[in-house]
Amino acid sequence: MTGRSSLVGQGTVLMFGSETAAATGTGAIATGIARNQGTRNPSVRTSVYNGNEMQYDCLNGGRGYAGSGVGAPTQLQSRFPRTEFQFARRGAAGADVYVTGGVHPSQYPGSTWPTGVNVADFKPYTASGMRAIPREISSGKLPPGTFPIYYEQYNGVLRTP
Amino acid sequence: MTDIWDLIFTGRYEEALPALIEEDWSSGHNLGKIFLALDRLDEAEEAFRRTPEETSSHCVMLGACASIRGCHEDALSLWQKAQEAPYQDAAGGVIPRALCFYASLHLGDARERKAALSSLKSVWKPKRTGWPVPIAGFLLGKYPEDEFTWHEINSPSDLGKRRKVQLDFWKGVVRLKDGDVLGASNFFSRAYSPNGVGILEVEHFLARNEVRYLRRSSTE
Repeated sequence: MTGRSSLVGQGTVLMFGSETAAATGTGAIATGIARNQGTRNPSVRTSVYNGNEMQYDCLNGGRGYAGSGVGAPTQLQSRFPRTEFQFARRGAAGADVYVTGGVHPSQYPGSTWPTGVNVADFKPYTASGMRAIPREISSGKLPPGTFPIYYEQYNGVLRTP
Repeated sequence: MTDIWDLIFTGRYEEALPALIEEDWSSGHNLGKIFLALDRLDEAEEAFRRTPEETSSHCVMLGACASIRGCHEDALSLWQKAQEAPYQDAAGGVIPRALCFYASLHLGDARERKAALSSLKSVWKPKRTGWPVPIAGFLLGKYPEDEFTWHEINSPSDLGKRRKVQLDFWKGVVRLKDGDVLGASNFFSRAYSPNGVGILEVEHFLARNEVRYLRRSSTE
């Protein structure tokens, strides 16, 4: 099953739930669904789908932006060809990227990657994407000092570093 | 680019070593590879033990040290353990799985070989061509060699050089599996040929070890 059909499938189930809950007027569930929260919201669902495709371009299910196969890990490795990166498994806690060896990304000409920082996280270049990094660091979801690597949501191109 | 890397990528490891010991930002990974390049296996292992355990390269490099020592069972178990690390290569752990296949050839263990191939199947999808997915397809016999070589030609310079090391090593492994020792030796020699950035890949060190082993075997 592809990532898309799986997400669409979930959405369908949730919509049935929404109708049932709205009809019966069952408290918090109905209220939440009425607000179109989380993945019930089509735009959130699209963002989740795009993020999944972008961040796991070489994995099963991840096809990169618009199915091009060129997602964030491939672009990052091309930007820093003398660096060894490793990437978090799908759904794993913590930062997306770990610098494990080779030339540190901060040592490349024009790089904005901070010296001594070995962890980074892919985020969409949106207001919420930018807010997410400090929030996730303070909540402990990401390690302190995690470097944000932003990508354009409309074409999947990395903006930083 | 710092001077250390100019020294490393031109094979002047002894000169790079003092500076690298002083400022090894990655807690041992680069240092371990330089020790390995200098045949200082004990110090290499010591350095790799200090690398972060959550990355698969921790067990991958310790397994490489075991393999170079000729302890293929230890290498196999370390490479199996590497598959469980939270951080993997971009394809979700193709390299540790491929290394298990390589170890199973050395052990002559058909059961482990079957297990390694089955594990490689789990990360191989024909439509996913992002590196290093094709290594899995190539070892499974489902990805043609000329398409495999395409990744070397169509990669930016340094990445292409790194992939060439990997491509040549795995081509050698496939020939070794088929009993073509001469063909394997040729590819291992190419994988080991110093080309600077190739030192970043575990295959560089394994290829060097294979070349030495095959040379020793031919003279005995």
